[in-house]
Amino acid sequence: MSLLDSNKTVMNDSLMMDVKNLSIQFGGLKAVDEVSFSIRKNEIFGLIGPNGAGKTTVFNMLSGFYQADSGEILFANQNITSLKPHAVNKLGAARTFQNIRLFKGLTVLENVVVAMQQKHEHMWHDSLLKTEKFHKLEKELVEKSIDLLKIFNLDQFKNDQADSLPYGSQRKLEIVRALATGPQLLMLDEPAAGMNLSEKAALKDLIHFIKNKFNLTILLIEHDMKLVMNICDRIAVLHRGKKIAEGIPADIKTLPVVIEAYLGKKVI
Amino acid sequence: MKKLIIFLGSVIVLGIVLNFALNSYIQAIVISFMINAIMALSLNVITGLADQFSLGHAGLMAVGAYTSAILSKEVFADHWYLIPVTVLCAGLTAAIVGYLISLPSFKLKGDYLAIVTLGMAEIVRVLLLNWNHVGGPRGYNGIIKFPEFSYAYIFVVTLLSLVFVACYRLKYSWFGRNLWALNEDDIAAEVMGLDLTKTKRQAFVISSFMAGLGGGIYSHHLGYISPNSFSFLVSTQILIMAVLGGLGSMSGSVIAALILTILPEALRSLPTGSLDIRMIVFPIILIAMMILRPQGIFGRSELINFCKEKKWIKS
Amino acid sequence: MQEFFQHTLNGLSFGSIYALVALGYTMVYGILGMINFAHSEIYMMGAFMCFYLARFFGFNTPSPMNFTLGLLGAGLATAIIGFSVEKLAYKPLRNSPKMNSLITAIGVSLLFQYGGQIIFGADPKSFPTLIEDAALFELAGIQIHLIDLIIYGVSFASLAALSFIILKTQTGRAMRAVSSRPDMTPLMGIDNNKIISMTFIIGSVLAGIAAVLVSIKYPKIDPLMGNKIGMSAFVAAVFGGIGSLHGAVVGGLLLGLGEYYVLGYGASTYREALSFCILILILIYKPTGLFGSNKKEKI
Repeated sequence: MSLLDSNKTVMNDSLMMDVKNLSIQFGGLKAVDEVSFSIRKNEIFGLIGPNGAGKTTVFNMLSGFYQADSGEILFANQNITSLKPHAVNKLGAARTFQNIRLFKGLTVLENVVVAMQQKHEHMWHDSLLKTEKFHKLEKELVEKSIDLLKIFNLDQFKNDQADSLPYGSQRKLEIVRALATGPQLLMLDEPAAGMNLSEKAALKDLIHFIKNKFNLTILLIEHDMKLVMNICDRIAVLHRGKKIAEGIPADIKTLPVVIEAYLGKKVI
Repeated sequence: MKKLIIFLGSVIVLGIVLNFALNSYIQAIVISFMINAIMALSLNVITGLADQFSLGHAGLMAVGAYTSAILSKEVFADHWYLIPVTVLCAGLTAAIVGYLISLPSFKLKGDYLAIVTLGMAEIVRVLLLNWNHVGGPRGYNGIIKFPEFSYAYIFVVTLLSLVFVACYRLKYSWFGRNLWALNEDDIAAEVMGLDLTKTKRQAFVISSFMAGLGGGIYSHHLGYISPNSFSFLVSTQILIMAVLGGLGSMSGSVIAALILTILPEALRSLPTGSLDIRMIVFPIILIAMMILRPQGIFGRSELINFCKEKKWIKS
Repeated sequence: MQEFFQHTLNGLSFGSIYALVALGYTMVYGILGMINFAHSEIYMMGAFMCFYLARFFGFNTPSPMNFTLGLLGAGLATAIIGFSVEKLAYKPLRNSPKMNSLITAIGVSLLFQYGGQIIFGADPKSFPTLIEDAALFELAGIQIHLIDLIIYGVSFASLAALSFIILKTQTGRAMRAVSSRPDMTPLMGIDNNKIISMTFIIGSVLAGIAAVLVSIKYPKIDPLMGNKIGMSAFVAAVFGGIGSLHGAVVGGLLLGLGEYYVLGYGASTYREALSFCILILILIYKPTGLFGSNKKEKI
């Protein structure tokens, strides 16, 4: 899909993504109502809010699955509001899913290779005639994928079927697969879902590790308050489709409007 | 390279031998089987690899058949040695039609696509019924055939081999992997940068091209075609072959085509009197398979994997 | 003008048949998410079962009583057939990929068609005259026939009965519930299997009634008669919005009218292609049809 020049905009240089007045309506319900926030380069930004606040809807709009009714999403000096998911990824934004969407029938290695091969130009005649170039590229894809898996200690499972891995490793694999597409922005949808305390601690370290190693900006949705307060540089709080607060964790957790939205939830 | 020469050589020798060794009834079945194999392979690309259900392959076959028939009769003055050219054109025309069909279609999910392809095939059939220049409902007659069985045999075997190798190599390439990912979880595939619509379209065009080739040979095999040779029933028969062999298994399609070409002929000799039970054998096989062994003979894997698993050949 | 009125009447007559059959497709799709390819064969069986029952029990002479018996016979037969097909062929595949159910449905459809040709014989049979047609009165210059009125009447009565069942009875409520949240209904004490069977039975009975109505007007029946009606009725269901009952009725009536106008004013040889063209246009521009709703997949 070609990106027209009319999509090009100039963003503030320190920003990775700029969301302006995003709105979407489903039937009679305004799921997201004039939400705006900006994500700075190399920061870990959290999107939180009680159930039904609209976080996943926002995520789906940012990654191209839903088309916003109004508003703008600026990313990589482009207006990506109307782009489809594959185009958004090609520009440098990758995401994971709350329910882990691995390619279950494929091996761990194949999962990564499929992601890795999207960055390369493939010629039909190379595969049909099995040319030198084809063999070279196949070899390169496998090697690069194994190298990536090694970093995360998953290479030992490379020939195992993806859904045979323990839950925590599957989550890790999904992140590895997203990284294989070479993104600048990584969007994590409830990465800590279903994890116990020690796994969550490991997740925290993992996120910091990949941020530094791959020079990433990270956006995450999360329900676990403690994790969010510990990991994120800045947070935006959604409630009933609207943004009710944005700032650093220390400030956010004392705001009465935030505490009220989470009525009954203890924020540490 | 050496393998290629040996292969071609043995095909030619076999062709000459079979010309004299077999009677014309069996010769016709051999060619029929190979045409069916090409059709099953073509459907397997779109329905097996890409998991896009097409019920309209008879329509694409019809496009190929009529294209190559018209070219032979009206442009190439019945020269049999130009049959390969007409078959190639048949494939290209079917590919173009397939491209046009795919333009609006891949926004639709599963069942809907099946219906659209079915509809397209029926529209093709009705248009052909009304096109009097090619005979309309009476059909198109007097299409040139290969003068000797060995020529037909060599040509069709070569074509089938090319189609088979192409399908096989596509399956085990980046394209095959993309299709498999699309199959497994299309949403996940999308967020990795895979353009779903473009990929499905590409698979459909390839599939259409191959279906056109099959149709092209078909018209020169029988010498006569009519719109009713390309009905929904034919699409279903092709589907049964692909499903029996295993959706996603290329060698499976070929073997299933062999079984389902021979089966009706074998049943013909059964003493069932005037009842034609051949027609209900196909749906019974289909239903039984779906309930008992929906993955068909090989599932998604190939004959060679099957042999390796059973330790018949060394890994 | 007279011609237009004639076409309109014929169109509505056929349209109500389409509506009855379309309801079967739409109800099954609404509750199971599958296209029951074999529905057109259940329609066909309705006609044939009535034919054989009439012959066997001797009610093949015209009389209101015999006509009613015919309807009942067809309805009962199709109910049993529809129920059996669901239990034997579709239920085992309920948890398999959709494609498998679709393929099986195609198989069942072909089995009935070719099995029918073997068992009943491929030649068309003459359906018994259960109603003696009569030209009743004139309206706007054309003759109104008894049979047409009966077709309208029975269709309307069937639709009214269906509405009553769906809207006012517990079974109907349960059917609507299973249609929208089959995962939740067992928690409310609803047996999904019973409701699914019920849906098939009702759809099949409507198809059986439709078959008898068609056969009293066009008495030639053959094992392949389900094909054309089935395709048109299916298009009508999609046109109206697959899953929507109103849609099936409106779609059926509009398609019937459309086909008769084409037949009357245009190229009749293209009539078969009309429904497909409409279908493809709908699927491209408005896949949800007139009344359908867009079910978004959870991401």
